[in-house]
Amino acid sequence: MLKIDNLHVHVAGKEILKGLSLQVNAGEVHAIMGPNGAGKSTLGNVLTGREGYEVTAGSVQFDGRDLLTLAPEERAAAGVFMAFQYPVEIPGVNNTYFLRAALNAQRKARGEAELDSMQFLKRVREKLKVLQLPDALLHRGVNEGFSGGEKKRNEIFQMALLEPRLAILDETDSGLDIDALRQVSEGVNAQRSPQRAFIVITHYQRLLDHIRPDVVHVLAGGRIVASGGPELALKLEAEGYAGVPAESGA
Amino acid sequence: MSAPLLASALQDAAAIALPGAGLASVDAARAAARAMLSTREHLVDARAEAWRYTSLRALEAQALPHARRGVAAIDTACLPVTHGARLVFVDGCFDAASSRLDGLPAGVSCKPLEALDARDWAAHPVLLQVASGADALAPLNLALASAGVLLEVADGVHVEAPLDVIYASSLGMPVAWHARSAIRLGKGARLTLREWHLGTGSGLATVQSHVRLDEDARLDLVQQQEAPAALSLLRRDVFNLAARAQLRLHMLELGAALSQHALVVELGGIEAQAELRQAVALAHRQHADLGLDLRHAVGRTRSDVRCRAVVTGRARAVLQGAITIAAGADGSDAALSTQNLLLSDQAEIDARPVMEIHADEVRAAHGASVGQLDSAMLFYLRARGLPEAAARALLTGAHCRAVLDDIAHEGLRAAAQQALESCIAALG
Repeated sequence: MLKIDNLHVHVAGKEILKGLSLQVNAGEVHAIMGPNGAGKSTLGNVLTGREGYEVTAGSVQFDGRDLLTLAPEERAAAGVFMAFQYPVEIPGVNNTYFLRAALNAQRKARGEAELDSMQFLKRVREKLKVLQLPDALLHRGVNEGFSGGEKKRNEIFQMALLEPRLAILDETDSGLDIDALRQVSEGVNAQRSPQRAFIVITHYQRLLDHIRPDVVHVLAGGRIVASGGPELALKLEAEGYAGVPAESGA
Repeated sequence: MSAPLLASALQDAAAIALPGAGLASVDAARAAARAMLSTREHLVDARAEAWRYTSLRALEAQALPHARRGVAAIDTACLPVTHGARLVFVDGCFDAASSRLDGLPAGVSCKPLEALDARDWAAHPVLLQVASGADALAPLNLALASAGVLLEVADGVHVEAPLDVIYASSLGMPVAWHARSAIRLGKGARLTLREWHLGTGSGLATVQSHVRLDEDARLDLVQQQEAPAALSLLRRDVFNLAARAQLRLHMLELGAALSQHALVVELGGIEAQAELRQAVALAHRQHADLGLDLRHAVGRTRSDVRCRAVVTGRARAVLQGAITIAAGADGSDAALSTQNLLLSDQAEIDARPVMEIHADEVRAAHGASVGQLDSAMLFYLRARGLPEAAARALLTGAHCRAVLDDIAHEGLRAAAQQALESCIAALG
């Protein structure tokens, strides 16, 4: 589904990703761990098309298409979704209106029929139940006045609603208490399917207790330096990143 | 040598039959206004601070004829949905057929200027007064006002359905028309009012109003300015608030080639409060200038002014907002903020919030910002699938809509939001 080959990315003139390669197949959950400043969030941002991330070498194929040539909204319509580490507050833009506009824009871009308000609301109610989010959030501005936990749950709610092919969770566990972490994880697990893949970016093993990955990668110095099964995350938790070989390859 | 606009106005003022003509007090006041006008060379003093950002030179170079009754016509089907009584003026002439004045509750008197009798004129001297030293706009308006309304709500009367005063322009040829109103809400009275400017005409319109809110009265006023793109609209509104009176004013500035709005609010009684909201969306070469003069004359008064503008093309939005807290007006609370979006390189925002504080124990805050759309917000929307143009329109609309959300009447709020959305969609 996703094939990243030798990706080099500069941010503000500084090289952050230095030859990252990664392959993610449909149905898989990949965890990416690594120390601060390793380039984890850069990977998410470059995959979703944020401005300011300059790809100097390498390629990213998504379902056989060159992802890097697509605008952010085209990537979304193709099925790429990122749950943001810091979801931005957008006062004045109603959450429901925004979500319906986003969903229908994606459907239109894919040549699918747009949902009318009844169909949309039915879908919204189903997904809200899974995330245990109050209805009231729908009537507020996007993320406006949401607590940290509500913002993260709202991201997962959006993911559930938009049903992407590839979901990137950028430190979705940061700032969550134990209950919120469990709710968010349940929301993610409910979305796991043979057709959908996840890249879970995190600092901590604790999220992976709830969302069990198929593969764990260590990103350090702009590259994947180690890969393994879920046991690798446990090892990192016990020993820290110091024990990870600088260049063990993916 | 007076400007062509003033010269033609003087000729028309002597020749046209206006409301109240034949009544000695009205004739005398108009004669005095004409005399004052005849001494002026220009509409305004271009060196005055109030006119620092807005020039009327091109406007006053045109000899615009006064609109004549019978020439104007508007298709009533084109008029917007209204919820209660309404007065419609077309090119400065009262349109009785389009107006609806039946069904007003007892204790409410609402008359077009032409229906006033001698007692009305005498009871409302503000209709015939021009402040000394004022620019030529005030005498011009008094000398030629053919439109306008006298609206009175008796003590304790609550008017449930909103009242509309619609100023429509319809003539293809450029004309001038003038409206002059007096509004008074008695003690504890409540009214929701909308002043709506719309149509397709061109030329000049001046609209001047004096509003008095007695103790504990509350006025919810929406000024929806969707005047035609070729019209110059010059407005002056004066509000006097007695103790505990409340003014909630929402101003929507979308239309007109040139719109200048002088707004004077005097909080003259304790615990009087004014909430002013302005949403501005301009494109092409539109120019909108709000000159606010808000005075806390006594203590424990409150004002809260929030302006949001979005400007593109070569348009220009001006806010000169002055709040004065008089000596002794302790316990007053004043806030003034203006947030502006510039969507093109050649658009211009001039924001000058000024606070003049002569009292010691007050709370006063002001802030101004000018910027572009937030790139993080834009990316967030696009990353969810919204095309860039749709994401921009959504954010631009949200920027201004925030100041319309607290319009109390649902129908008026929806109409204002709809007008704003349409305007922003057209900004591109």
